[in-house]
Amino acid sequence: MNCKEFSNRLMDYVEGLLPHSQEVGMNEHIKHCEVCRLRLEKIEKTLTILKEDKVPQLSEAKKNILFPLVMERIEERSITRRRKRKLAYGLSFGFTLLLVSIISIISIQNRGKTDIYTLFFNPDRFIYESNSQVNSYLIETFIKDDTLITDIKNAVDEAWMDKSELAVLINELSEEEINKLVEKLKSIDFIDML
Amino acid sequence: MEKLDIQKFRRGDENLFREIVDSYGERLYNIVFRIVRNVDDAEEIVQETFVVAFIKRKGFRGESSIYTWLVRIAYNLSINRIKKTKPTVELDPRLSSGSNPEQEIEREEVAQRIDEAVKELPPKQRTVFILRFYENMPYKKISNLLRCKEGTTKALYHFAVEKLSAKLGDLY
Repeated sequence: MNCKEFSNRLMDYVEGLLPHSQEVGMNEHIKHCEVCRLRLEKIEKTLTILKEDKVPQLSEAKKNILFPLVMERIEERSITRRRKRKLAYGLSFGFTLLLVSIISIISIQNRGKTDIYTLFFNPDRFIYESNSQVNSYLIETFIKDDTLITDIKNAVDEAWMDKSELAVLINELSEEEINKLVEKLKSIDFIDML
Repeated sequence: MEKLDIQKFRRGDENLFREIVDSYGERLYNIVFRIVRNVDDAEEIVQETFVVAFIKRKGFRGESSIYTWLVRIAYNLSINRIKKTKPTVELDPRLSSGSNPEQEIEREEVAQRIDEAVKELPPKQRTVFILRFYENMPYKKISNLLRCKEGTTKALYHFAVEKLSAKLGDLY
């Protein structure tokens, strides 16, 4: 056995975990190798000293009070958690309220603006894509006031055909009918409607 | 302690929890003291270990023993404490007893040297040494507990012993 092998097996040797054959090899090695023998001696003496290093014992009183102390801490912790949860609920409620208020204020302010919607009487753009409420209102207004655009009414009844189909219907209107539509659109008060 | 009823523990049964605290409190304290080398810190960490264990009891799935689980919590708390605390060598409370002043001085020196030597070990190395040397824990169990390979655990133990031997070599 060489010094490297000795070193690799040293801890197992100290702990008495080596198989007999290897233990014999270790014993043989230290008979001839002074360096490894001194190293082993030093480790064994150190471990003996460390074995005597005692932990200051817990008194009986401290042992007995451990459980109540732990429970007290758990209780404190749960009270803190409950408070934090309450605070979080309060904050989120407040935040929601604030958010709703801000949204309401913005919507009220926007109501007064006249330039936010533009409606073109062009079949492709007739259905105002970004606001179906506007479309719905327009179609309803036409139908109520005029029986001329019956095809569009049918389209509405059939649960809103898509834009291109409506465009086709409008394309088929005569010039007179289109003029009538244009007049109708001009008379609509969009601000009120929005 | 008899075989643990995991479901009962997870439900937060107070009697069972008391049994756990009574059974393992002192054992944990012994390990923690050897890691942090301070009585007050060790007592505080043991209490906190049980608090954390109770709060996180639903996370205990019984894959390891409750003791191993508690040691892991205690180890993590101890490591956090070591990182926060500046390395200082204080007078060991064990030294207050004893009648022979010369012997007492000698013991004081030995204890202080051990304190210094142990505190100089990196936390993981220190813990491996303590669990192996004082608790006779198998390498496999230590490696599970510290989440490292068995070979690494063995090497850490070897390094720790060599370092302690180099530091304490002139004591005898």
